[in-house]
Amino acid sequence: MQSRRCLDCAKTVPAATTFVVNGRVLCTPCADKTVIEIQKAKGALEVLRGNDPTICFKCAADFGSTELPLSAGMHACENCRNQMLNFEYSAWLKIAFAALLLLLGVALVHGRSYFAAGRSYYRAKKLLESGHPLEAVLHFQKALESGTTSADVLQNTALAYLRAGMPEEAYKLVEGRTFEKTELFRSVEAEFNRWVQASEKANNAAQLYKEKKYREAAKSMHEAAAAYPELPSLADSADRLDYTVLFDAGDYDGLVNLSEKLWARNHTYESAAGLAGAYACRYAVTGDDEIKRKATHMMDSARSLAKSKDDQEDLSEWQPRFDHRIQTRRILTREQYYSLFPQEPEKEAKN
Amino acid sequence: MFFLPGFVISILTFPGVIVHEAAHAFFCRMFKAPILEVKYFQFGNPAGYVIHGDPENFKGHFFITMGPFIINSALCILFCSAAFLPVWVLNIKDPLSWFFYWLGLSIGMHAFPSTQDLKVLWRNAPRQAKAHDPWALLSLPLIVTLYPLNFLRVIWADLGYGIAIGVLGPIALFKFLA
Repeated sequence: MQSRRCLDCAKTVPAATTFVVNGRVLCTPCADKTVIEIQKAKGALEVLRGNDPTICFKCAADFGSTELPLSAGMHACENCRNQMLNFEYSAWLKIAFAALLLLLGVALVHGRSYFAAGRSYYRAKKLLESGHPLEAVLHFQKALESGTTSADVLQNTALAYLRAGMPEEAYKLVEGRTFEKTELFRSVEAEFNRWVQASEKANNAAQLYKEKKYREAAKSMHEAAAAYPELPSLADSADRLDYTVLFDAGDYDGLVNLSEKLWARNHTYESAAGLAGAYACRYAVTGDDEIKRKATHMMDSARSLAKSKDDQEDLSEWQPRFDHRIQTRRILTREQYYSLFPQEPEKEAKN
Repeated sequence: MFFLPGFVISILTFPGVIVHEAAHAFFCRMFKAPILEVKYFQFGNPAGYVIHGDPENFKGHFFITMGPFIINSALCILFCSAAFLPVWVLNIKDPLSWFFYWLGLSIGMHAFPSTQDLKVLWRNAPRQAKAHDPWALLSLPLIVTLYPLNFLRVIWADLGYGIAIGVLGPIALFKFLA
Protein backbone atom coordinates (compact mmCIF):
# COMPACT_ATOMS: atom_id res chain seq x y z
CA MET A 1 0.00 0.00 0.00
CA GLN A 2 1.27 3.48 -0.83
CA SER A 3 0.69 6.70 1.10
CA ARG A 4 0.19 10.34 0.05
CA ARG A 5 0.49 13.60 1.94
CA CYS A 6 -2.59 15.86 1.87
CA LEU A 7 -1.61 19.26 0.47
CA ASP A 8 -4.08 21.05 2.78
CA CYS A 9 -3.77 19.39 6.20
CA ALA A 10 -0.37 17.73 5.59
CA LYS A 11 -1.63 14.44 6.99
CA THR A 12 -0.24 11.22 5.46
CA VAL A 13 -3.10 8.96 4.34
CA PRO A 14 -3.47 5.78 2.19
CA ALA A 15 -3.14 6.77 -1.49
CA ALA A 16 -6.38 4.94 -2.40
CA THR A 17 -8.40 7.24 -0.08
CA THR A 18 -7.14 10.47 -1.65
CA PHE A 19 -8.71 12.67 -4.32
CA VAL A 20 -7.11 14.94 -6.89
CA VAL A 21 -9.16 18.15 -6.84
CA ASN A 22 -8.18 20.52 -9.65
CA GLY A 23 -4.74 18.91 -9.70
CA ARG A 24 -4.15 18.99 -5.88
CA VAL A 25 -3.84 15.74 -3.89
CA LEU A 26 -6.14 15.93 -0.85
CA CYS A 27 -7.37 13.57 1.83
CA THR A 28 -11.09 12.75 1.83
CA PRO A 29 -12.25 15.37 4.42
CA CYS A 30 -10.18 18.16 2.80
CA ALA A 31 -11.37 17.14 -0.67
CA ASP A 32 -15.03 17.30 0.48
CA LYS A 33 -14.46 20.75 2.01
CA THR A 34 -12.67 22.07 -1.08
CA VAL A 35 -15.27 20.75 -3.48
CA ILE A 36 -18.07 22.49 -1.50
CA GLU A 37 -16.12 25.77 -1.49
CA ILE A 38 -15.44 25.60 -5.25
CA GLN A 39 -19.08 24.74 -5.96
CA LYS A 40 -20.24 27.73 -3.84
CA ALA A 41 -17.87 29.97 -5.76
CA LYS A 42 -19.09 28.37 -8.98
CA GLY A 43 -15.52 27.74 -10.04
CA ALA A 44 -14.15 25.13 -12.47
CA LEU A 45 -14.00 21.73 -10.82
CA GLU A 46 -12.22 18.51 -11.77
CA VAL A 47 -12.17 15.67 -9.26
CA LEU A 48 -10.28 12.42 -9.76
CA ARG A 49 -10.03 9.52 -7.34
CA GLY A 50 -6.45 9.00 -6.19
CA ASN A 51 -5.22 5.55 -7.01
CA ASP A 52 -2.76 3.22 -5.39
CA PRO A 53 -0.84 1.15 -7.95
CA THR A 54 -0.21 -1.53 -5.30
CA ILE A 55 -3.93 -2.12 -4.60
CA CYS A 56 -6.17 -3.86 -7.12
CA PHE A 57 -8.98 -1.45 -7.99
CA LYS A 58 -11.42 -4.30 -8.40
CA CYS A 59 -10.83 -6.74 -5.53
CA ALA A 60 -9.01 -4.18 -3.28
CA ALA A 61 -6.26 -6.72 -2.52
CA ASP A 62 -3.10 -5.05 -1.20
CA PHE A 63 0.11 -6.16 -2.91
CA GLY A 64 2.44 -4.29 -0.51
CA SER A 65 5.12 -2.49 -2.43
CA THR A 66 4.51 -4.31 -5.75
CA GLU A 67 2.97 -2.02 -8.36
CA LEU A 68 0.20 -3.72 -10.36
CA PRO A 69 0.07 -3.35 -14.15
CA LEU A 70 -2.54 -1.09 -15.74
CA SER A 71 -5.60 -2.58 -17.28
CA ALA A 72 -8.12 -0.22 -18.86
CA GLY A 73 -6.25 2.59 -17.06
CA MET A 74 -6.69 0.95 -13.67
CA HIS A 75 -4.27 -1.08 -11.59
CA ALA A 76 -5.55 -4.64 -11.41
CA CYS A 77 -4.20 -7.92 -10.10
CA GLU A 78 -3.70 -10.78 -12.52
CA ASN A 79 -6.79 -12.60 -11.38
CA CYS A 80 -9.05 -9.58 -11.87
CA ARG A 81 -7.32 -8.71 -15.14
CA ASN A 82 -8.11 -12.19 -16.47
CA GLN A 83 -11.68 -11.85 -15.29
CA MET A 84 -12.01 -8.55 -17.13
CA LEU A 85 -10.52 -9.86 -20.35
CA ASN A 86 -12.31 -13.21 -20.26
CA PHE A 87 -15.61 -11.80 -19.18
CA GLU A 88 -18.14 -14.49 -18.28
CA TYR A 89 -21.78 -13.92 -19.13
CA SER A 90 -24.13 -14.58 -16.27
CA ALA A 91 -26.31 -17.70 -16.43
CA TRP A 92 -29.57 -15.72 -16.66
CA LEU A 93 -28.20 -13.79 -19.63
CA LYS A 94 -27.33 -17.00 -21.44
CA ILE A 95 -30.82 -18.33 -20.75
CA ALA A 96 -32.35 -15.03 -21.89
CA PHE A 97 -30.31 -15.16 -25.07
CA ALA A 98 -31.45 -18.73 -25.75
CA ALA A 99 -35.03 -17.67 -25.04
CA LEU A 100 -34.69 -14.75 -27.45
CA LEU A 101 -33.44 -17.05 -30.20
CA LEU A 102 -36.26 -19.46 -29.45
CA LEU A 103 -38.77 -16.61 -29.65
CA LEU A 104 -37.28 -15.53 -32.95
CA GLY A 105 -37.73 -19.07 -34.25
CA VAL A 106 -41.31 -19.16 -33.00
CA ALA A 107 -41.96 -15.74 -34.54
CA LEU A 108 -40.67 -16.85 -37.92
CA VAL A 109 -42.59 -20.15 -37.86
CA HIS A 110 -45.72 -18.41 -36.59
CA GLY A 111 -45.41 -15.81 -39.35
CA ARG A 112 -45.02 -18.42 -42.11
CA SER A 113 -48.66 -18.38 -43.22
CA TYR A 114 -48.66 -14.59 -43.04
CA PHE A 115 -45.50 -14.49 -45.16
CA ALA A 116 -47.27 -16.53 -47.83
CA ALA A 117 -50.33 -14.28 -47.63
CA GLY A 118 -48.24 -11.12 -47.64
CA ARG A 119 -46.13 -12.28 -50.54
CA SER A 120 -49.28 -13.10 -52.51
CA TYR A 121 -50.71 -9.70 -51.63
CA TYR A 122 -47.65 -7.75 -52.76
CA ARG A 123 -47.35 -9.86 -55.91
CA ALA A 124 -51.05 -9.30 -56.64
CA LYS A 125 -50.67 -5.55 -56.16
CA LYS A 126 -47.73 -5.52 -58.52
CA LEU A 127 -49.73 -7.45 -61.14
CA LEU A 128 -52.74 -5.17 -60.70
CA GLU A 129 -50.59 -2.06 -61.08
CA SER A 130 -48.96 -3.49 -64.21
CA GLY A 131 -52.39 -4.11 -65.78
CA HIS A 132 -52.82 -7.87 -65.18
CA PRO A 133 -55.96 -7.98 -63.02
CA LEU A 134 -56.90 -11.55 -63.90
CA GLU A 135 -53.57 -12.95 -62.68
CA ALA A 136 -53.73 -10.57 -59.71
CA VAL A 137 -57.09 -12.03 -58.64
CA LEU A 138 -55.52 -15.47 -58.06
CA HIS A 139 -52.89 -13.99 -55.74
CA PHE A 140 -55.39 -11.75 -53.96
CA GLN A 141 -57.54 -14.82 -53.28
CA LYS A 142 -54.55 -16.51 -51.63
CA ALA A 143 -54.00 -13.41 -49.48
CA LEU A 144 -57.67 -13.44 -48.46
CA GLU A 145 -57.28 -16.99 -47.15
CA SER A 146 -55.29 -15.55 -44.21
CA GLY A 147 -58.54 -14.11 -42.83
CA THR A 148 -57.44 -10.53 -43.40
CA THR A 149 -59.84 -7.70 -42.61
CA SER A 150 -57.52 -5.03 -43.97
CA ALA A 151 -59.37 -2.32 -45.89
CA ASP A 152 -56.47 -2.02 -48.33
CA VAL A 153 -56.39 -5.73 -49.10
CA LEU A 154 -60.18 -5.96 -49.51
CA GLN A 155 -60.41 -2.88 -51.70
CA ASN A 156 -57.44 -3.87 -53.85
CA THR A 157 -58.97 -7.32 -54.32
CA ALA A 158 -62.31 -5.75 -55.24
CA LEU A 159 -60.49 -3.52 -57.71
CA ALA A 160 -58.81 -6.56 -59.27
CA TYR A 161 -62.15 -8.39 -59.49
CA LEU A 162 -63.76 -5.38 -61.16
CA ARG A 163 -60.94 -4.95 -63.65
CA ALA A 164 -60.96 -8.69 -64.34
CA GLY A 165 -64.65 -8.62 -65.23
CA MET A 166 -65.90 -10.24 -62.01
CA PRO A 167 -68.09 -7.52 -60.52
CA GLU A 168 -70.28 -9.90 -58.51
CA GLU A 169 -67.26 -11.22 -56.61
CA ALA A 170 -66.11 -7.64 -55.99
CA TYR A 171 -69.51 -6.71 -54.63
CA LYS A 172 -69.64 -9.75 -52.31
CA LEU A 173 -66.25 -8.75 -50.90
CA VAL A 174 -67.15 -5.19 -49.97
CA GLU A 175 -70.86 -5.69 -49.23
CA GLY A 176 -71.84 -4.41 -45.77
CA ARG A 177 -68.43 -2.88 -45.06
CA THR A 178 -67.55 0.77 -44.63
CA PHE A 179 -64.27 2.19 -45.82
CA GLU A 180 -62.43 5.46 -45.40
CA LYS A 181 -62.73 7.71 -48.42
CA THR A 182 -59.16 7.27 -49.61
CA GLU A 183 -57.78 7.40 -53.13
CA LEU A 184 -58.09 3.60 -53.29
CA PHE A 185 -61.73 3.83 -52.22
CA ARG A 186 -62.42 6.34 -54.99
CA SER A 187 -60.76 4.04 -57.55
CA VAL A 188 -62.96 1.12 -56.45
CA GLU A 189 -66.01 3.36 -56.45
CA ALA A 190 -65.22 4.56 -59.99
CA GLU A 191 -64.94 0.95 -61.17
CA PHE A 192 -68.24 0.03 -59.52
CA ASN A 193 -69.88 3.06 -61.15
CA ARG A 194 -68.59 1.95 -64.53
CA TRP A 195 -70.09 -1.48 -63.93
CA VAL A 196 -73.41 -0.01 -62.78
CA GLN A 197 -73.62 2.18 -65.91
CA ALA A 198 -72.87 -0.83 -68.11
CA SER A 199 -75.49 -2.90 -66.27
CA GLU A 200 -78.10 -0.16 -66.75
CA LYS A 201 -77.37 -0.10 -70.48
CA ALA A 202 -77.54 -3.90 -70.64
CA ASN A 203 -80.88 -3.89 -68.81
CA ASN A 204 -82.13 -1.25 -71.22
CA ALA A 205 -81.01 -3.45 -74.13
CA ALA A 206 -82.93 -6.39 -72.65
CA GLN A 207 -86.06 -4.26 -72.38
CA LEU A 208 -85.70 -3.03 -75.99
CA TYR A 209 -85.23 -6.63 -77.14
CA LYS A 210 -88.49 -7.62 -75.47
CA GLU A 211 -90.14 -4.78 -77.36
CA LYS A 212 -88.60 -6.21 -80.56
CA LYS A 213 -86.53 -3.05 -81.05
CA TYR A 214 -83.53 -5.12 -82.03
CA ARG A 215 -81.42 -2.38 -83.57
CA GLU A 216 -81.77 -0.11 -80.52
CA ALA A 217 -81.20 -3.06 -78.22
CA ALA A 218 -77.98 -3.96 -80.04
CA LYS A 219 -76.80 -0.33 -79.86
CA SER A 220 -77.47 -0.17 -76.12
CA MET A 221 -75.74 -3.51 -75.55
CA HIS A 222 -72.70 -2.36 -77.53
CA GLU A 223 -72.56 0.73 -75.33
CA ALA A 224 -72.69 -1.52 -72.26
CA ALA A 225 -69.88 -3.68 -73.66
CA ALA A 226 -67.79 -0.60 -74.43
CA ALA A 227 -68.37 0.81 -70.94
CA TYR A 228 -67.30 -2.44 -69.32
CA PRO A 229 -65.18 -4.41 -71.79
CA GLU A 230 -63.84 -6.61 -68.97
CA LEU A 231 -67.15 -8.50 -68.90
CA PRO A 232 -67.11 -10.68 -72.06
CA SER A 233 -70.74 -11.66 -71.61
CA LEU A 234 -71.78 -8.10 -72.53
CA ALA A 235 -69.85 -8.26 -75.79
CA ASP A 236 -71.31 -11.72 -76.45
CA SER A 237 -74.81 -10.38 -75.88
CA ALA A 238 -74.09 -7.48 -78.21
CA ASP A 239 -72.94 -9.93 -80.89
CA ARG A 240 -76.07 -12.03 -80.41
CA LEU A 241 -78.19 -8.90 -80.81
CA ASP A 242 -76.29 -7.98 -83.97
CA TYR A 243 -77.14 -11.47 -85.22
CA THR A 244 -80.80 -10.87 -84.44
CA VAL A 245 -80.73 -7.48 -86.18
CA LEU A 246 -79.24 -9.00 -89.35
CA PHE A 247 -81.66 -11.95 -89.27
CA ASP A 248 -84.59 -9.63 -88.72
CA ALA A 249 -83.47 -7.47 -91.68
CA GLY A 250 -83.02 -10.55 -93.89
CA ASP A 251 -79.36 -9.69 -94.43
CA TYR A 252 -78.15 -13.30 -94.59
CA ASP A 253 -74.78 -12.45 -96.17
CA GLY A 254 -74.14 -10.10 -93.29
CA LEU A 255 -75.35 -12.83 -90.92
CA VAL A 256 -72.86 -15.31 -92.37
CA ASN A 257 -70.02 -12.76 -92.19
CA LEU A 258 -70.75 -11.96 -88.56
CA SER A 259 -71.20 -15.64 -87.62
CA GLU A 260 -67.93 -16.60 -89.29
CA LYS A 261 -66.14 -13.86 -87.33
CA LEU A 262 -67.67 -15.05 -84.06
CA TRP A 263 -66.76 -18.66 -84.83
CA ALA A 264 -63.19 -17.68 -85.74
CA ARG A 265 -62.90 -15.72 -82.48
CA ASN A 266 -64.34 -18.39 -80.24
CA HIS A 267 -65.02 -22.06 -80.98
CA THR A 268 -68.05 -22.61 -78.73
CA TYR A 269 -71.37 -24.36 -79.04
CA GLU A 270 -73.01 -20.92 -79.29
CA SER A 271 -70.86 -19.70 -82.21
CA ALA A 272 -71.06 -23.06 -84.03
CA ALA A 273 -74.85 -23.23 -83.76
CA GLY A 274 -75.12 -19.57 -84.82
CA LEU A 275 -72.99 -20.14 -87.90
CA ALA A 276 -74.94 -23.28 -88.74
CA GLY A 277 -78.14 -21.20 -88.59
CA ALA A 278 -76.62 -18.47 -90.79
CA TYR A 279 -75.49 -21.01 -93.42
CA ALA A 280 -78.93 -22.61 -93.29
CA CYS A 281 -80.48 -19.19 -94.07
CA ARG A 282 -78.14 -18.65 -97.01
CA TYR A 283 -78.86 -22.17 -98.26
CA ALA A 284 -82.57 -21.46 -98.00
CA VAL A 285 -82.08 -18.41 -100.23
CA THR A 286 -79.52 -19.81 -102.74
CA GLY A 287 -80.15 -23.59 -102.72
CA ASP A 288 -76.38 -24.01 -102.96
CA ASP A 289 -75.51 -27.58 -101.82
CA GLU A 290 -72.01 -26.48 -100.80
CA ILE A 291 -73.60 -24.02 -98.34
CA LYS A 292 -75.92 -26.79 -97.14
CA ARG A 293 -72.89 -29.01 -96.52
CA LYS A 294 -71.25 -26.22 -94.55
CA ALA A 295 -74.41 -25.75 -92.49
CA THR A 296 -74.73 -29.42 -91.57
CA HIS A 297 -71.01 -29.62 -90.87
CA MET A 298 -71.28 -26.68 -88.45
CA MET A 299 -74.30 -28.28 -86.81
CA ASP A 300 -72.23 -31.42 -86.27
CA SER A 301 -69.59 -29.22 -84.64
CA ALA A 302 -72.24 -27.59 -82.46
CA ARG A 303 -73.46 -31.00 -81.31
CA SER A 304 -69.97 -32.06 -80.36
CA LEU A 305 -69.37 -28.76 -78.48
CA ALA A 306 -72.63 -28.88 -76.52
CA LYS A 307 -71.27 -30.16 -73.21
CA SER A 308 -73.08 -28.14 -70.57
CA LYS A 309 -76.66 -28.73 -69.51
CA ASP A 310 -77.70 -25.33 -70.90
CA ASP A 311 -76.06 -26.05 -74.24
CA GLN A 312 -77.70 -29.48 -74.41
CA GLU A 313 -81.12 -27.95 -73.72
CA ASP A 314 -80.54 -25.26 -76.32
CA LEU A 315 -79.43 -27.85 -78.85
CA SER A 316 -82.54 -29.96 -78.35
CA GLU A 317 -84.65 -26.86 -79.01
CA TRP A 318 -82.60 -25.63 -81.96
CA GLN A 319 -81.94 -28.91 -83.83
CA PRO A 320 -85.55 -29.46 -85.13
CA ARG A 321 -85.80 -25.84 -86.30
CA PHE A 322 -82.45 -26.12 -88.08
CA ASP A 323 -83.51 -29.39 -89.71
CA HIS A 324 -86.77 -27.80 -90.77
CA ARG A 325 -84.92 -24.88 -92.39
CA ILE A 326 -82.57 -27.22 -94.28
CA GLN A 327 -85.34 -29.60 -95.37
CA THR A 328 -87.89 -26.98 -96.41
CA ARG A 329 -85.60 -24.05 -97.32
CA ARG A 330 -88.06 -21.86 -95.40
CA ILE A 331 -86.68 -19.26 -93.01
CA LEU A 332 -88.98 -19.02 -90.02
CA THR A 333 -88.51 -16.99 -86.89
CA ARG A 334 -88.80 -18.87 -83.66
CA GLU A 335 -92.32 -17.53 -83.10
CA GLN A 336 -93.34 -18.50 -86.64
CA TYR A 337 -91.91 -22.00 -86.18
CA TYR A 338 -93.72 -22.60 -82.87
CA SER A 339 -96.96 -21.24 -84.23
CA LEU A 340 -96.69 -23.98 -86.86
CA PHE A 341 -95.39 -26.58 -84.42
CA PRO A 342 -96.62 -25.70 -80.92
CA GLN A 343 -94.79 -26.79 -77.70
CA GLU A 344 -92.59 -23.67 -77.59
CA PRO A 345 -90.14 -23.91 -74.70
CA GLU A 346 -89.85 -20.91 -72.35
CA LYS A 347 -86.17 -20.47 -72.99
CA GLU A 348 -85.11 -17.89 -75.54
CA ALA A 349 -83.12 -19.28 -78.42
CA LYS A 350 -81.44 -18.39 -81.68
CA ASN A 351 -83.05 -17.71 -85.04
CA MET B 1 -45.67 15.17 -28.55
CA PHE B 2 -46.21 13.66 -25.13
CA PHE B 3 -43.73 13.20 -22.31
CA LEU B 4 -42.93 9.89 -20.66
CA PRO B 5 -40.22 9.64 -18.01
CA GLY B 6 -37.12 7.79 -19.18
CA PHE B 7 -37.46 5.04 -16.61
CA VAL B 8 -41.01 4.27 -17.80
CA ILE B 9 -39.75 3.93 -21.37
CA SER B 10 -36.91 1.72 -20.15
CA ILE B 11 -39.32 -0.55 -18.29
CA LEU B 12 -41.67 -0.75 -21.27
CA THR B 13 -38.80 -1.59 -23.58
CA PHE B 14 -36.48 -3.47 -21.20
CA PRO B 15 -35.56 -6.25 -23.68
CA GLY B 16 -33.91 -3.61 -25.87
CA VAL B 17 -31.81 -2.31 -22.97
CA ILE B 18 -30.57 -5.81 -22.14
CA VAL B 19 -29.79 -6.63 -25.80
CA HIS B 20 -27.96 -3.29 -26.16
CA GLU B 21 -25.72 -3.89 -23.13
CA ALA B 22 -25.19 -7.56 -23.96
CA ALA B 23 -24.07 -6.54 -27.46
CA HIS B 24 -21.58 -4.07 -25.93
CA ALA B 25 -20.25 -6.82 -23.66
CA PHE B 26 -20.08 -9.28 -26.53
CA PHE B 27 -17.98 -6.98 -28.70
CA CYS B 28 -15.78 -5.95 -25.74
CA ARG B 29 -14.98 -9.62 -25.25
CA MET B 30 -14.49 -10.21 -28.95
CA PHE B 31 -12.03 -7.30 -29.28
CA LYS B 32 -10.31 -7.98 -25.96
CA ALA B 33 -11.39 -4.80 -24.22
CA PRO B 34 -11.37 -5.35 -20.44
CA ILE B 35 -14.84 -5.13 -18.94
CA LEU B 36 -14.86 -3.38 -15.59
CA GLU B 37 -18.54 -3.46 -14.81
CA VAL B 38 -21.79 -4.40 -16.50
CA LYS B 39 -25.36 -3.52 -15.66
CA TYR B 40 -27.76 -5.12 -18.12
CA PHE B 41 -30.80 -3.41 -16.68
CA GLN B 42 -31.67 -1.26 -13.70
CA PHE B 43 -34.53 0.97 -12.63
CA GLY B 44 -32.61 4.19 -13.00
CA ASN B 45 -30.65 6.39 -15.29
CA PRO B 46 -28.87 5.00 -17.19
CA ALA B 47 -31.05 1.91 -17.54
CA GLY B 48 -27.95 -0.13 -18.34
CA TYR B 49 -24.23 0.33 -18.94
CA VAL B 50 -20.94 -1.40 -19.63
CA ILE B 51 -17.77 0.15 -18.24
CA HIS B 52 -14.86 -1.07 -20.28
CA GLY B 53 -11.29 -0.30 -21.22
CA ASP B 54 -9.88 0.35 -24.65
CA PRO B 55 -9.72 -2.44 -27.21
CA GLU B 56 -6.52 -3.20 -29.10
CA ASN B 57 -7.44 -1.36 -32.31
CA PHE B 58 -9.92 1.03 -33.89
CA LYS B 59 -11.95 -1.81 -35.36
CA GLY B 60 -12.62 -2.84 -31.77
CA HIS B 61 -13.72 0.69 -30.90
CA PHE B 62 -16.01 0.69 -33.91
CA PHE B 63 -17.72 -2.57 -33.06
CA ILE B 64 -17.98 -1.91 -29.33
CA THR B 65 -19.73 1.38 -30.12
CA MET B 66 -21.73 0.33 -33.17
CA GLY B 67 -22.28 -3.30 -32.15
CA PRO B 68 -25.55 -2.63 -30.33
CA PHE B 69 -26.69 -0.49 -33.26
CA ILE B 70 -26.10 -3.39 -35.65
CA ILE B 71 -27.41 -6.18 -33.39
CA ASN B 72 -30.47 -4.29 -32.14
CA SER B 73 -31.37 -3.11 -35.65
CA ALA B 74 -31.02 -6.63 -37.09
CA LEU B 75 -33.14 -8.20 -34.33
CA CYS B 76 -35.72 -5.44 -34.69
CA ILE B 77 -36.03 -6.09 -38.43
CA LEU B 78 -36.28 -9.87 -37.90
CA PHE B 79 -38.92 -9.74 -35.16
CA CYS B 80 -40.88 -6.98 -36.86
CA SER B 81 -40.74 -8.75 -40.22
CA ALA B 82 -42.24 -11.84 -38.61
CA ALA B 83 -45.07 -9.78 -37.12
CA PHE B 84 -45.35 -6.97 -39.65
CA LEU B 85 -47.88 -8.55 -42.02
CA PRO B 86 -50.62 -9.48 -39.53
CA VAL B 87 -50.14 -6.23 -37.60
CA TRP B 88 -49.75 -3.66 -40.37
CA VAL B 89 -50.88 -5.15 -43.67
CA LEU B 90 -53.41 -7.92 -43.11
CA ASN B 91 -55.00 -6.38 -40.00
CA ILE B 92 -55.40 -9.73 -38.24
CA LYS B 93 -56.15 -9.80 -34.53
CA ASP B 94 -53.28 -12.01 -33.42
CA PRO B 95 -51.91 -11.24 -29.91
CA LEU B 96 -48.77 -13.30 -30.50
CA SER B 97 -47.87 -11.17 -33.51
CA TRP B 98 -48.41 -8.01 -31.47
CA PHE B 99 -46.11 -9.43 -28.79
CA PHE B 100 -43.40 -10.08 -31.36
CA TYR B 101 -43.89 -6.62 -32.79
CA TRP B 102 -43.51 -5.06 -29.34
CA LEU B 103 -40.36 -7.14 -28.78
CA GLY B 104 -38.92 -6.04 -32.12
CA LEU B 105 -39.74 -2.38 -31.52
CA SER B 106 -38.36 -2.51 -27.96
CA ILE B 107 -35.09 -3.83 -29.28
CA GLY B 108 -35.00 -1.40 -32.19
CA MET B 109 -35.66 1.58 -29.93
CA HIS B 110 -32.41 0.93 -28.07
CA ALA B 111 -30.26 0.61 -31.15
CA PHE B 112 -28.67 4.07 -30.92
CA PRO B 113 -25.20 4.08 -29.35
CA SER B 114 -24.93 6.39 -26.35
CA THR B 115 -23.47 9.88 -26.70
CA GLN B 116 -20.58 8.76 -24.49
CA ASP B 117 -19.75 5.85 -26.81
CA LEU B 118 -19.96 8.09 -29.87
CA LYS B 119 -17.63 10.61 -28.20
CA VAL B 120 -15.02 7.91 -27.65
CA LEU B 121 -15.30 6.83 -31.27
CA TRP B 122 -15.19 10.43 -32.47
CA ARG B 123 -12.00 11.06 -30.48
CA ASN B 124 -10.23 8.30 -32.35
CA ALA B 125 -11.92 8.31 -35.75
CA PRO B 126 -10.39 11.35 -37.53
CA ARG B 127 -6.80 10.25 -36.84
CA GLN B 128 -7.56 6.73 -38.05
CA ALA B 129 -9.49 8.02 -41.05
CA LYS B 130 -6.41 9.97 -42.15
CA ALA B 131 -4.60 6.64 -42.12
CA HIS B 132 -7.38 5.32 -44.42
CA ASP B 133 -8.72 2.89 -41.83
CA PRO B 134 -11.96 1.64 -43.48
CA TRP B 135 -13.71 1.29 -40.12
CA ALA B 136 -12.87 4.89 -39.28
CA LEU B 137 -14.10 6.05 -42.68
CA LEU B 138 -17.32 4.13 -42.14
CA SER B 139 -17.73 5.43 -38.63
CA LEU B 140 -17.59 9.13 -39.56
CA PRO B 141 -20.95 9.38 -41.35
CA LEU B 142 -22.51 7.12 -38.73
CA ILE B 143 -21.31 9.34 -35.90
CA VAL B 144 -22.46 12.48 -37.71
CA THR B 145 -25.91 10.93 -38.16
CA LEU B 146 -26.33 9.22 -34.82
CA TYR B 147 -24.96 11.97 -32.59
CA PRO B 148 -27.74 14.47 -33.27
CA LEU B 149 -30.33 11.66 -33.32
CA ASN B 150 -29.31 10.85 -29.77
CA PHE B 151 -30.34 14.33 -28.68
CA LEU B 152 -33.61 13.97 -30.55
CA ARG B 153 -34.60 11.13 -28.25
CA VAL B 154 -36.61 13.71 -26.31
CA ILE B 155 -38.90 13.88 -29.33
CA TRP B 156 -38.97 10.09 -29.71
CA ALA B 157 -36.28 9.78 -32.39
CA ASP B 158 -35.41 6.35 -30.98
CA LEU B 159 -39.02 5.17 -31.27
CA GLY B 160 -39.13 6.72 -34.73
CA TYR B 161 -36.05 4.77 -35.72
CA GLY B 162 -37.53 1.54 -34.33
CA ILE B 163 -40.76 2.06 -36.26
CA ALA B 164 -38.88 3.08 -39.39
CA ILE B 165 -36.83 -0.09 -39.53
CA GLY B 166 -39.68 -2.21 -38.15
CA VAL B 167 -42.01 -1.00 -40.91
CA LEU B 168 -39.85 0.11 -43.82
CA GLY B 169 -37.51 -2.88 -43.47
CA PRO B 170 -40.27 -5.48 -43.87
CA ILE B 171 -42.01 -3.45 -46.60
CA ALA B 172 -38.77 -3.33 -48.60
CA LEU B 173 -38.25 -7.04 -47.96
CA PHE B 174 -41.73 -8.10 -49.10
CA LYS B 175 -41.75 -5.76 -52.09
CA PHE B 176 -38.44 -7.27 -53.12
CA LEU B 177 -39.80 -10.80 -52.72
CA ALA B 178 -43.06 -10.01 -54.57
